[in-house]
Amino acid sequence: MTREQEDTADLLRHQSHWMTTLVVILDVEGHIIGFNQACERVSGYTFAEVENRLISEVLLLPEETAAVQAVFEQLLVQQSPNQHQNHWLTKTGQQRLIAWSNTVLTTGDTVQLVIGTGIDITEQQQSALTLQQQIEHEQLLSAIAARIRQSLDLYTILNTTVAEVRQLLQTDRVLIFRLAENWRGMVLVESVNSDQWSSLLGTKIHDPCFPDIFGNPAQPIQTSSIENIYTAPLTPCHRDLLIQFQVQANLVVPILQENRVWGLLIAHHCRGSRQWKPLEVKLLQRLATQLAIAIQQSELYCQLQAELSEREQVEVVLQEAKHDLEQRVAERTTALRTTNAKLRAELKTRQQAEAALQHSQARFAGILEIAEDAIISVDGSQTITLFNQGAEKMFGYTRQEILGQPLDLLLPPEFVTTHQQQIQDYAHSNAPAHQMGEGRRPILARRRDGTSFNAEASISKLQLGNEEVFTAILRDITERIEAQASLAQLTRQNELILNSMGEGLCGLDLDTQITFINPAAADMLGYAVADLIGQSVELILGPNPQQLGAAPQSPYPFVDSLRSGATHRFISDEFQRRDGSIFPVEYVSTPIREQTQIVGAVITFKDISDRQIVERMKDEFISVVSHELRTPLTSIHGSLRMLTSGLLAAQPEKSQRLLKIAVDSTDRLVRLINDILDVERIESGQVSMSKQPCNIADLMTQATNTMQGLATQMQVTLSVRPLSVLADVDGDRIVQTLTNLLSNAIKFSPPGGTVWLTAAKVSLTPPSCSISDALLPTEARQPNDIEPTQVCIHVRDQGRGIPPEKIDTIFERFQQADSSDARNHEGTGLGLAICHSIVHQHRGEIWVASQPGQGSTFSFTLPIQGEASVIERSKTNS
Amino acid sequence: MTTKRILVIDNEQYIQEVVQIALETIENWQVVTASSGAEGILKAEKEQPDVILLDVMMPDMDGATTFRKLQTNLCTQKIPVLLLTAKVQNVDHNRYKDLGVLATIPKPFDPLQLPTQIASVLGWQL
Repeated sequence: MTREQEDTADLLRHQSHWMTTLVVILDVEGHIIGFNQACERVSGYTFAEVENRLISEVLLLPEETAAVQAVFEQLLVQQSPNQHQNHWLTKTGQQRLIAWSNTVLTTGDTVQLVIGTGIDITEQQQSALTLQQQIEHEQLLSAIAARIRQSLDLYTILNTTVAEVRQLLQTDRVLIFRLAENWRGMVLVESVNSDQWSSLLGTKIHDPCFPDIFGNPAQPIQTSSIENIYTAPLTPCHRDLLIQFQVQANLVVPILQENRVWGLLIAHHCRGSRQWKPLEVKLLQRLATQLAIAIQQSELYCQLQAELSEREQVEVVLQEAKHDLEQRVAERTTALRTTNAKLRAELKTRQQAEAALQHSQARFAGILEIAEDAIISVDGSQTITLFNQGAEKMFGYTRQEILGQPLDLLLPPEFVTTHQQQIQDYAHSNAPAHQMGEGRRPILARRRDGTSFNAEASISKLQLGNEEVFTAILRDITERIEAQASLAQLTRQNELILNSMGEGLCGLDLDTQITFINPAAADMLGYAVADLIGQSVELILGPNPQQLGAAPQSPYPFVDSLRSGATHRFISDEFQRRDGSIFPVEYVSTPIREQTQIVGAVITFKDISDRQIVERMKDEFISVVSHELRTPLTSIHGSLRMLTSGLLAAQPEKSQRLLKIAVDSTDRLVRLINDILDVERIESGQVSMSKQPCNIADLMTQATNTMQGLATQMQVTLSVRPLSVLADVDGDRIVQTLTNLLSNAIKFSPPGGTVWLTAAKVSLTPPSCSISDALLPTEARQPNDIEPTQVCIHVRDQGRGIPPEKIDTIFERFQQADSSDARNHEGTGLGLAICHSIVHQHRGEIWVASQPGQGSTFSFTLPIQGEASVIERSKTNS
Repeated sequence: MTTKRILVIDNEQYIQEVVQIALETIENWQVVTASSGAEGILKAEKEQPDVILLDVMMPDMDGATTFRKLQTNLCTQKIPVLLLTAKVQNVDHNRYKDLGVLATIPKPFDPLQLPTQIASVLGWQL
C-alpha cells in the first residue's frame, strides 16, 4: 500500500469511527485494514484483534465464504453490483446479518482498496421472519378453522391438522392423544416421519406417572414445553416414557371441552433438542382451541345425526305401517272380488247342477225301472211309496197291488216286529245309509206266494220337507248262499279227506315253508299241526336227504318241483320226528300251479317202516324157505342119481337105504310145502275159518286120540281133562293146533314122561290165566259175578324147556328151539307159526311159559259163548 | 393114486349118507361124517382128512364159525375146505368168498359129479 492509500485509509477510519454504520476496509487480498467502532460493537472484536487478518478467516461463515469471495472478485474488476448481504460470526459465536454497500478505491484502473459500508439488519430480518411465521400460522389457523366450518368429519380434520402442524413446525411427530378416565388414553391421530421414527398411532397409553405430570384431570392442564428431556427437570418415569417414544423435545397443549381435558395436541421432536418459540406455543394453543370447537361441533353433529337417524327410523316404521295398511286394503278388495267371482261361479254351477239333476232324475227313473235289484221306498209310516220292476220280479207283486200297502207284507211274519224296530232305530240315527240285517247277515224277505228268500239289503233315508223317505235296495242272494254252502261243504269234505288220509300231506310255498299239513303227517312227525305251519320244511327232513333227481344246487328234490314244476317220486328217503328219531318214507312231490304259475308244492308221504320190516322178513323167509326146500331135495336128488347110475346094482343094502332116504325126504318136502302154503294162506286171510259152535271138550278128545299113537311110540303118557264149553271155532283148525302142540310136547318129552292137556274158562286176558286155573274146578276158578269170556287151553310137557332167548321168537317161522332136533323129529319149523296164525284168526292169543330143564307150557285162548247158550246147546245136543 | 380121506360136516343125516355112498362107491374114498361143527373140528383134528366138505346152515355152530375155527386151529388150518350149501343167493356167495373158502358146491348137487368137482378144485388126478 502506498502512502497515499494509507492516508486515505486512516482518514476513513477516523471518519467512520463514530458512525453507527459499519465500515470495513479491505486490501485487494481481503485483509482487514479498516474496522470502525460499529464493526467492533457488532462483531465483538477490536480492530487490533482483526487487523491485517483475512476477513474470511475471522468473520465470514464458512458456508458463505465462497459467495462473498465471488462478490469480492467482481468488485476487484469493478463489474458487479456493489450491494449484497451476508452474515458475520461474532466473537461470541452469534450470527449477525449485514447488508453491504461496497465501493472501491482505485489508482488509475487499478483497484487499491475495497470499502464495505454495512448496516446490521439482523433484528430487522428477525422481525420479518417472525412476521412471516405469524402470517403462516394465521393462514394455517384460518385454513383449519375454515375446514372445521366446512367439514364435520372430525377424524379428517384432526388428521389434516396434525399433518399440517408437523409440516409447519418442521418437527418429527405430531399427534392427538384422546384422554379418557384415570389418565388412560389412546393416540387418536398422528403424523410422523415413519421412515425414521416409530408410529404411535392407536397406542394405548396408561402411564402411572401421568398424574404426576399433569395432576388432576379435572383441573385444566397447562401447556408444557420441554426443550431437552435430559436437561429438563422431569420425573424419571416421565423421562422414561418419552425415551420410549424416541422423544427429545416436546410441546404439549391441552384440548379443552367445557373446562375438562378432552385430549392433548402434542408435538415431538425426536432428532434432537428444540427450543420451542412462543409463536409455536401460541399456534398450538390456538389450534387446540379450534380443535375444541371442531370436536364440539362434531359431537353436536353426531347428536343431530342420531336424532335424524331416529327420526328416519320412525319415518320408515310409519312408511311400513302405511304400506301394510294399503296392502291389506288391496287384499281385502281382491278377496271380495274372488268371493264375488266364486258366488257367480257357484250360481252357475248350481244352475248346471239343477239341469244335470233334472237329466239325472230322468235317467235315474229309467235305471230304477231296468235295475235287477229291488228298489223300494216307504214313508214314515212304513207304507210302500215306490216299487220298481226289479222288486216286482223279486217279490211277485205288481206295483198296483203293493203301492200304499204296509212294508210288513214283504217280510216273513216272524221278522216283522224286529224289522220295524230296526227301521225306527235307523230313523233316529245319524247314519245316511246302512247295511240291513243283524251283524251284516243277509235278511229274509217274503214273496207273494209266502216263500222266503235271502237278500242282501241296504237302506238310506232322505228328508223331503217334513217327510222322511226310506229307500231300500235288495238283491236276491239265494243262489250265492247256495254256492257258498256248496263251497263250504266241499271245503269241509276236502278237510275231512285230508284229515282222514293215512298218508301224510304237506303243502309248501315257494320258500319251502309249510303252508298246510294234515293230521296224519303231523302225527307221523310227532308234532301238532299248528306247530308246523309256517316252519321251514327242513325241520322235518332227515339229516341226509336223497340227492336223486335234485338240482345240483339244491339238496332237496322237491325244490325242483318248485322250480321246474316236475313231479318227483322217491321210494326211499328219511324224515325226522320231533324227538330227533328218523323214519323211512316214500314220498311224491308235486308242484301246485295257479294258471301257469308255480305257487308251491305238495309232498305226499308214507311211513314205510312197517313195509321195510315186512320186506326184510320176506327176504329172510325166502332165504330160509329156499334152504329148507333144497335140503330134502338134495337128499332126494342125490339118492335117485346114485340109484339110476347103476353103480349100486351090486349093493342092494345101499340101494335100499337110498330109496328110504328119497321117500322120507319126499314126505318131508310135501309136509314142508303144505305147511308153508298153510301158514301163508292162513296169515293172508285166504283161508277163511269155517267157524261153527263146537264143544271144546270134543276137540280136545279128538286131538288126543290122533296123538295117542305117537305118545305110545315115544313112551309118553297123555293126560287129558276135557272142558265142556261152546266156542265158535273152525274145529279142524283147532284140532290141528292141538295136535301140533301135543306132537311137539310128546317129541320133546323124555321116555316115561307125561304130557297134560287141560282147559279152563277165564275172563282175564292172557297171560294172567295161569295153568293152575286150568287144574281147578270150574266153579272155584271165577268169582260168580264175573262172566267168563274165554277158554284157555294148556299143553304142558316135562321136556328140557326153551332157552329164554328163543321164547320171543318161538312162534315165528323156522324158529325151532333147536333145528337139528326139529329135523330129527321131522318138523318143518312151521308148526308153531301155523298154531299162532290159527289162534289169531280166532281172535285168541297164544303164548308159552318155560323153565329150561323143567318143561314148557303152551297156552292159547279162544272166545266162548255165554254159559246159558252152552247149557242150552248141550241140552239140545243131548 | 392114494386113497383120499374126506370129512363131511352136515347136520342132515341123509345128506351125509348120500355123500358118503357116492364118494365111496365112485372113487373109493374114505368118508368120515360129523353132524355138527364142534364134532367136525374134533374129527378133523383126529382124522386129518384131505378135504372137508362143510355145510353152512347148521344149528348151534354154523358153517362160517366152524370154518374160522378150523382156520385158526394149528392142527386143521392146512386142510382145504369146500362149502356145501343150500343158501345160494348172491349175498351168501360173496360172504363165503370173503371167508376164504376154496369153493362152494351148491345143494342140490349131482353126487356122480361130486368127486370130479372136488378133484378139480384141489388139483387131484382121478
